[in-house]
Amino acid sequence: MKKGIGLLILLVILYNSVYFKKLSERTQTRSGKIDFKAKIDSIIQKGVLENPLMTDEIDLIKQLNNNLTIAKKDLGNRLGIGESAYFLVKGQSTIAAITENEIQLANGSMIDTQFIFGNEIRDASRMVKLEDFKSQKDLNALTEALNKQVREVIIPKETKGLKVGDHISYLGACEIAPTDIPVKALTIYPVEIKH
Amino acid sequence: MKYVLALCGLLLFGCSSKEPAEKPKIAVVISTLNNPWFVVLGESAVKNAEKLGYEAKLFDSQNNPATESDHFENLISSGFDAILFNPTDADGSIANILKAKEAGIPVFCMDREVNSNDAATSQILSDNYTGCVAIGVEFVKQLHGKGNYVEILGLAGDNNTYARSNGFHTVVDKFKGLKMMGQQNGDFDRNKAMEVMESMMQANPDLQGVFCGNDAMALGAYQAIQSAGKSQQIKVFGFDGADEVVQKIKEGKIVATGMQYPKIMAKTAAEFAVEFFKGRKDFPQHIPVAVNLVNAKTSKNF
Repeated sequence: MKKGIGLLILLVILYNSVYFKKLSERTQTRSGKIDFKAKIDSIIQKGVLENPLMTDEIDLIKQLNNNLTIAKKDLGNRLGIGESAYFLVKGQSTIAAITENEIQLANGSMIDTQFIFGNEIRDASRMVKLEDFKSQKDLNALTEALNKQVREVIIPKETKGLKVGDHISYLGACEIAPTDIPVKALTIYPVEIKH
Repeated sequence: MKYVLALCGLLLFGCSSKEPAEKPKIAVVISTLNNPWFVVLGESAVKNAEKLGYEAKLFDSQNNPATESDHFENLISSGFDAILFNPTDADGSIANILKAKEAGIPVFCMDREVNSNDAATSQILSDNYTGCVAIGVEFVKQLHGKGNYVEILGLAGDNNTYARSNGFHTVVDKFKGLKMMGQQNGDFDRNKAMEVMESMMQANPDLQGVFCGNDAMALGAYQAIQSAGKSQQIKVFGFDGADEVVQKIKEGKIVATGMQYPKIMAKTAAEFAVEFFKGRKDFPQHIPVAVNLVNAKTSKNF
């Protein structure tokens, strides 16, 4: 009887001593759940669509090749330390090829419609400051929430029905590093595509 | 009267631990010097502090929080004026930082983050998350969005381990054709990763890819894959930018890695310490340092 009670107590202690958690649960708890909706709307509207730094593609390429340092200072942005910078860009062209991942344009540039996961739109907008975030996780969570809105909500609607030969206008963001110079064409992460 | 004057003199000048003209001393405390990557980080921090005209000393915590705690006690009592710090533990190291803070000593974390937003003066960290987002994109492209894969994580309890894994999964989990067959810790260690990869290949013969949380583990995994004769079948992805891995990318043996910049982190931390001495007190809590994707196309730049 005593042994049975002892075993039972031991089992209860053991059961309460060890907790198994999924990695995703652990990180979710750490980063918390923050509602970024208002911030995302503001980044898209004020930081991208209405931003006076939005530069025509041909003009941007010219400025990048002319003097990258000045172009970065005048038009680019990046949070933290790194050699590349992010720029807002708009243009017009005809669709030369289209897949579920990308739109290849007749002017040589490419619009990436699937892999919108990086810091291009966030940083080019100049609407996010490191000082506003006490934690890296919150900053990363904002980035992913912003990208998700563009990637899964905005762009699928705007690319629906597009085909080779369509003339489109587009605006978005791109990343340029010193090793990309001279730039001939851009890879654009779109925020708006119009037919 | 003479004794009173002498006592006043002692109180005024004798209790100061430093001559007024003495330059501030900077301590560089590194989690382990048993790993070449951290040696570069530590030695760069010392060199940069010395280059800026300050005395600097390197401490090795040997991946042991107790050793790290001893270092902090010693360097606080020895009168160091700033600490450039690579913590052993995201939670366990906070108490040490707070001790230094209480003593008025600024602490600048390098590379490894601690789970506190107000302990360190600033944290200069590789943008592990974004770097692994880029690896995730490359992974999806190389595997054409389908196949079975495994993940070898770093150390449990280390924030970089989770930031890297999260960045990778932010992308890869969106592609339903990619199925993760296993996820195990390799502790950032080459030999352990080799063993883990061997056992995961035995359990899952039909693998197409492996993502490793650092390059040491990528090399261990590649060794296991090569021994099993599966180097044409399983694509290996790492993180760090180790020379050996960059070379293997050029040879087409490993697919991609993320290039980190320990020298830039060390230089920034040393410069921040000097700015602190000159009166700056307001630093961003986190400074991300870019991580660049190294693949077959970009490897010529590294």
